[in-house]
Amino acid sequence: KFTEGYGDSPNNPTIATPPLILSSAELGLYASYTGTLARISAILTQQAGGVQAQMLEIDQYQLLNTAYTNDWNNLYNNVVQPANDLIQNYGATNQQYAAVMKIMKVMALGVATDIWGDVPASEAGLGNITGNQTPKFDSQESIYAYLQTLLSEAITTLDAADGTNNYTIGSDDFIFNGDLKKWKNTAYMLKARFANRLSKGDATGSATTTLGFLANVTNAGDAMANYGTVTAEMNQWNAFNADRKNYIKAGKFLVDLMQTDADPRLPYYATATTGGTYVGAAPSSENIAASNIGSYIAGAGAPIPLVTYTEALFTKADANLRLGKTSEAAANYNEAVIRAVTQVTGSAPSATYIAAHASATAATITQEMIATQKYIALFTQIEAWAEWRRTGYPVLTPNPNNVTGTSAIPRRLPTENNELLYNKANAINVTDIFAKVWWDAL
Amino acid sequence: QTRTITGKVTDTKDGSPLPGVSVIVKGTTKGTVTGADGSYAIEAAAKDALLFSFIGYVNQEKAVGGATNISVALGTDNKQLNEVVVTALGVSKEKKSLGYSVQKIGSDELINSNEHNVIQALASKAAGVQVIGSGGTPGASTKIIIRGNSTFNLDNQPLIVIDGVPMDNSTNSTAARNYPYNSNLQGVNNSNRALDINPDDIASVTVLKGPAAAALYGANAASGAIIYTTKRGRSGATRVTYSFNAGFDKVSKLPEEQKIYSQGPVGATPVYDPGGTGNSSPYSWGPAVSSVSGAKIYNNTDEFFKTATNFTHDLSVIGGNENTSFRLSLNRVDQNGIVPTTDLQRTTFRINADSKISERLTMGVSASYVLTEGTKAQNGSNTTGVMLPLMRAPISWNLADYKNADGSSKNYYNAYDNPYWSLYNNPYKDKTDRFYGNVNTTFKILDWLSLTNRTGVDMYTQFSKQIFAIGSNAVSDYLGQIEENTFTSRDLYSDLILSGHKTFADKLDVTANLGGNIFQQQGQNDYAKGTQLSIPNYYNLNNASTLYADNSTTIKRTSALYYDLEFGYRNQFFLTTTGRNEWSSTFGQSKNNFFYPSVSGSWVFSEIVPANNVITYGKVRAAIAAGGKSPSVYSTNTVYTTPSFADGFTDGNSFPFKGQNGMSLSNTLGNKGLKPERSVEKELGLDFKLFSRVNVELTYYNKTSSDILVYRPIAGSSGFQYILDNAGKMQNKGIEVLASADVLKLKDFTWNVQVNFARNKNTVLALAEGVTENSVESAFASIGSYAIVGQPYGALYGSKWARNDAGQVVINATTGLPTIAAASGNLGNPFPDWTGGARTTFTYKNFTLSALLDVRHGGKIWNGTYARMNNLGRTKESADRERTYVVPGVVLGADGKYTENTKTVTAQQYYRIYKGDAAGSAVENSVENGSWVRLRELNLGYKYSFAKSSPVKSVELSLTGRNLWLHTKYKGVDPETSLTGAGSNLTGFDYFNNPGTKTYAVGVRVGF
Repeated sequence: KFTEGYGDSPNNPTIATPPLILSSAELGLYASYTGTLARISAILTQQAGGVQAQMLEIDQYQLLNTAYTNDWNNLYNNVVQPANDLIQNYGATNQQYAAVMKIMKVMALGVATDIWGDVPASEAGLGNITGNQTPKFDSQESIYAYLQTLLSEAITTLDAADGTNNYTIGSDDFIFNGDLKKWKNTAYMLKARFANRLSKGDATGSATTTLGFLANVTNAGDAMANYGTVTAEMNQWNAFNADRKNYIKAGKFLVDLMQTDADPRLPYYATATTGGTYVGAAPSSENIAASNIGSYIAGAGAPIPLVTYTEALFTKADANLRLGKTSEAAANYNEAVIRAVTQVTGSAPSATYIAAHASATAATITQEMIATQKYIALFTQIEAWAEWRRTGYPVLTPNPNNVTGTSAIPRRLPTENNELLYNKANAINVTDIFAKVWWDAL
Repeated sequence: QTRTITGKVTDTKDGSPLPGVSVIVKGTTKGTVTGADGSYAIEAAAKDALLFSFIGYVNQEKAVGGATNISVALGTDNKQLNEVVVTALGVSKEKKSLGYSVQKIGSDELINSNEHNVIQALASKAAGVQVIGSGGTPGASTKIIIRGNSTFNLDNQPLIVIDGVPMDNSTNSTAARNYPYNSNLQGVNNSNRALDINPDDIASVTVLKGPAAAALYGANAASGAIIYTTKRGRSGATRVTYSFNAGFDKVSKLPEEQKIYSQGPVGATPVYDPGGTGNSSPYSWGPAVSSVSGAKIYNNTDEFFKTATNFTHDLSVIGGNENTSFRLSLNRVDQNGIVPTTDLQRTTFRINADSKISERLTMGVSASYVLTEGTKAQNGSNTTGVMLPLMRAPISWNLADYKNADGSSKNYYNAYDNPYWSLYNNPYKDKTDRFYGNVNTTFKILDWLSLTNRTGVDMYTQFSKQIFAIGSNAVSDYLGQIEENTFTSRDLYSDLILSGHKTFADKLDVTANLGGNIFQQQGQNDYAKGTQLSIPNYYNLNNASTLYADNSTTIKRTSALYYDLEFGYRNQFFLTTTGRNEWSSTFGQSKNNFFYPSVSGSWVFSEIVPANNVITYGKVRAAIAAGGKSPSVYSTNTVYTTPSFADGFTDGNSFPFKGQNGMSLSNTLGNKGLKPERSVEKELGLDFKLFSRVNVELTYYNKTSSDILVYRPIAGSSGFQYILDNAGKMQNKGIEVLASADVLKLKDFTWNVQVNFARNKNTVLALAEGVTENSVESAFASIGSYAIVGQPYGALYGSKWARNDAGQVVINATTGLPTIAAASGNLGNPFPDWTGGARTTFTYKNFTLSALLDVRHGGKIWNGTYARMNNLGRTKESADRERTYVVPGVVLGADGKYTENTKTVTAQQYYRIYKGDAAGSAVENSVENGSWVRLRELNLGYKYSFAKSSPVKSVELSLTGRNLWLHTKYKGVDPETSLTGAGSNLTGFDYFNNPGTKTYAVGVRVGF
């Protein structure tokens, strides 16, 4: 027959390999952790200032349910779905890949639930496998349990002897170059992150669980988004500054805080203005002459932190403090601050700085100190917004000129519009951006 | 038994011979044209009838009978009736036998439009045909839609047919396969490839509006068909015609700008910013230029657009003897754009030849070679664009001083390329080599039975190259970029048709066509990109440190069997039924064939009306047909792609990444169970003629498309964003009116008026189950294009102001500004409520004066340009800034009652937020009415014929104006604009679109 045999595309395959899918999912994860969601977090926590166009909208709390579809889709289409695909279709013969994919799936779902509250998780990203085009929305409580389960499964697999692996993870893994010990360490750091998040509901119980996970955590290596040098491989904060010049600046609150502290990280977090000084953009200032985001985050090939040992140390300090273990907390805190500074500047902080900011004792350590230094250390990480919501520190003044008429800082994004349109039966519609997600309201 | 019939065709007015009259054997494709002396010779049988037709004259039909010499005299008359029209598959039919509406447009109407694009040349000439140009840059595409949109995501444009063979009318845009956005939203105004047709070669155009008319072309013509027929040779003395046309284009309309205030940031106190750095303020909220020492006003916009030139040469030769005739033509277009550096050159060469090889065998060949090339300008949302940096530029900055000493771009705000610098340094050039043509063979098996084969090929290679110089903002690392893209298209088409015509008992005419078709469309797209250039101004890919390449190949095959059966009784009742069964490769494993039937009929009721002077002709017609569309290629499987990761702000990360490739499943789920999309159209019509001088054609149609093939959006949380599915239902219903009248017919003076009017009402009846809103195509985060149940297709969609139950805008009492509604929604229909065209033609002796008025009523346009200019303090109205404003609306009091807002806001707040697109604004404020009334064409012609002995036979002179007058309330550029062009289903987007033009032209045509 004239028409037969021309139905299949010569341009796209219907099967792939685990390395191809892993590489793809990692870049998907990069996009979530270093893209618009990170900018929203940075602007709302006043680490950064949105001074023009869409960034100014965020700065003024104009957070519409149609504006962040890309970011929602990226989490599910580019991380959760490939993770499920690899686990389901290639995982039995590539167990290590499947384990790493579970960790990445947790990283995606963790961001989704922290920002959007109740979201699809257990049924999400399975459109090609189960045919489910309308996944149910899981409660955040059940998602937090699901995240722990996935991480435990990943750890179990990675702990086991080789297993079945047709492919060996290597340079296709941009984050750890195939070092599975580091992936396992990251899994534990994530377990601690999510366990500690529940402090509002159960201050001591969550602390104990957190410390249990952190007992397995070492300084084995931070999960970083590693970039290259050509445009397709560029650090996306750098690309944003190039393509959307003067949309986002260092935030006035953070710059002022670091100036007050004589924080040696400031020149790495912000660029000097033409006057040679560091100026942060205040909310609604539209100050395009303020300092840009500095080279630590926005350098052309600069790696961007995803999950770090520094964060784990601050988490440890926080958990210990809640259990009344103040001296352990102080020690964790001091170590965390010094590590944080060293990691950014390349050298240990000065004695003066250590005396002022990394010499806490059992008597002086407070949650505010830990949270504030963690806030600085988590510069541009989405985790900073979650931690601010959890602790209330540092104390921020809401943008008085915001478009909502409410004097508060948004605590979530509204339910994504496509879910409302096409997953109507399941979508839980929340329009109030000041509403607290489950763990925030505990 | 056939024999040669000869004869002479003369003009009833003065008995002079009429050359060029078409003589066709009725019901067949066989025909000839009268020579210079009006004579013709044609093979016909006793049972045949000959149809004589000539534009501007009443057609005549003569039964052959026993005659060997048939001479006729044709009278000038209104040309709407008794016409012979070319219908589907190249079959000529008498218009009165048709049960559906077709509209024929003559050669002069195309040529006088002064458009180089044969699609654009149809604007406002046919009822129910919407022509949407995309701007005034040379070669910019034109989209055409007949009787509204009938499908959601597939192409809504009609099939383009030339001499019976489909022609590729793609709009190819240069973009990498992994480009993460809708490539129609960026880049240049690409060309639709019907641009490769030389309008001077066209003898006539027939618009087949509905499935009944186009059913025989199958799925490709589900949105109608436009049939171009080229001019052919004729026997007689060889004649040479040369014509030259010179046009001058000017920018037609621009947004009004303020010319008082300087560059300066937003703030309570105006501060002058001299500009020139990346940290300069992009705003024009500075103090009055007159108050700043050393500052002056520059007329950047006025100086930017130039008067463009536009030259066309056309040379044609026709000739032949009794057995063979030919027409050769050579045409050259040299056009400059109003935007500096933009241009278009097109050279077309065509040969048409027809030969009678034996008594039974005739062959014809049409072949055309075209070379189209040009330089295009960036359009739309583009930091390296033209309109974006131009319209945003403060008046205190001199744009013409465009480069620094080192050759780099110098701009008021160097996040954008200076538009002059960009044009000179970032050219986009494309070049298309195209060959298309067909061979037509007819073998007369019996007197009443013939076999015709028509085999055509259409092949082209379009090469495009986009350069971004080192330093351009187009590339994130400022290191420049070269993109090269080659599109190769090769379509093969072949029809085999068995045609029969018999008359029974002198009353019943039966014409039957039975045929088969195969059609293969093959495309290849090779893309290469080099980045990180080393040597400035050297643009070979070997100058790039990083290379990227991709390619794709598509083959689509269809085959079909079809029939067309027509019965005519006493020249009064006509009934036609057609059917086509088509197989398509694009269904994959699922049901791969489908059937399109049609039935149509007409009754010429004036045959039974007693002879009178009032109703001299009358016909009612009715048709019903089912059409349909097959899926686009390769959409049945869920496949892996090499993705890109971008969030709308940057080009994102993509593969290869650090030496690794990556793949994941595409965001579109495949669907193995696809069915054809179906549409059923019913059509009713009434044609009549009054007092022998007023012609009216009325048509009502109702077309319902169901099982529409749609990229149905699905919840992103499924891991996918779309699935191609049969979902949804849409209806188009409307009326079309064509009327013409010979108002005055005197010896030396005539006055003719023609009017067309069309109203189409499109309604989305249903989408997928449970879905009420569907995005049509990805657009901007702030505004999109949707199908919404109960609303017209393509509705603009975005944020709205919050309103109370009474519909009043709710103002925030504290800020004095309106608030944004929680839900985005419908912002209006971008398609017009109705369109109309009116042509009036006066002739006095050898002079002809003709004017074409074009009306578009309704149709919303998102004027993103104007909103941004308000935000930046660039519009004329924003100059009224030394006062406060009160936004109209209501404030909710503590008592729960609404009272009128009295809170004042600053001029900056008013223009930036309420009237602009700054944070806090709703996009609804920038959706405007795109209605217009325009003088589309104005032509003055003079023709002089010399004595027979003169070496020069005739001279024609013409003066033409295009778009000389435009009335619209639209505040932007000419509202005939489209950001996304013909390659997209988005309509009504204006975001720094290149402006339209108006043209003054003079022409001369000399016949030798």
